[in-house]
Amino acid sequence: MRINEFIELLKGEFDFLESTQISPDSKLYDTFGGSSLNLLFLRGIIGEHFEVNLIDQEIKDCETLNDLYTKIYSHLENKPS
Amino acid sequence: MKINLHKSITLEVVDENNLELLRELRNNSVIQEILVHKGLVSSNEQKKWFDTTDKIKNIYFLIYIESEIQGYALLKNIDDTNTIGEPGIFLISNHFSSIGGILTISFLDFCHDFFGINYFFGNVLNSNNQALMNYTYFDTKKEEKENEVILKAKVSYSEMKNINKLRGYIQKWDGYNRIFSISSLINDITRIPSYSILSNIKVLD
Repeated sequence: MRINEFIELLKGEFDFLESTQISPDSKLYDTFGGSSLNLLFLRGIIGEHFEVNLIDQEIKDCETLNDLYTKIYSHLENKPS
Repeated sequence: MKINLHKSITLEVVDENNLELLRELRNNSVIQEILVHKGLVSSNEQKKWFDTTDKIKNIYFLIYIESEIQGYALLKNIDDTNTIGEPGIFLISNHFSSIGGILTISFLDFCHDFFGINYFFGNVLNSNNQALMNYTYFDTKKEEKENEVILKAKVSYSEMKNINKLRGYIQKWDGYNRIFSISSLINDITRIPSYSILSNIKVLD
């Protein structure tokens, strides 16, 4: 999955992102508004789509959405295509 | 009375004995920022307020996470007839964390399963971005009040978006079983409501 597809995945899963401009450089905390439910849901969909179980701190250490994408793929054997 | 919502998350019902703790939390600067009705409260004001509060329809809880007090929750303006209540969670530190989400889900589940609440009424400041984000899991609308935009919403618990998914994630990662253990019956709340889902309530005495 490419980064832009990852962004589209997030927009598809989080209704409030549909009408929001986000990019790989968007700040993760701001994008999800510091919401604990969003963090929980984000962990869940990453688990579903990538079979990667990130812990809170790994997500919170990501400054941007691109950082998160890179973090996910660091857990996978497959590299970004 | 204590209620174990899930593993490390415990609520303690506020009564005369721990009322001062509630006041200290309410006066905490982090919580003051998100309160709709701001202002520091003295001990005497707090006691007067508590003495005149209907404790059947307005219930306050201290929140303990890993045995540390982290804030308070409330369920107020309980309307048994229409199964409406106004829940709130107020934490003294930033909980951009799974445990914060688990607290939210398990508290709403408890409000539904114990008090029979099917509709939640919300009153949230426009500046409280975390709460507004949480309300995106409900269908909500905004309205103006006193020059400040607040969210006012009556939302259906059963129509909360993705709640079953969220419960499923918590169950998978952390064994969430939606069983609420209550330390003693129930002089504080005076009853287990007849509409409680008793299979989800475990009284420990």
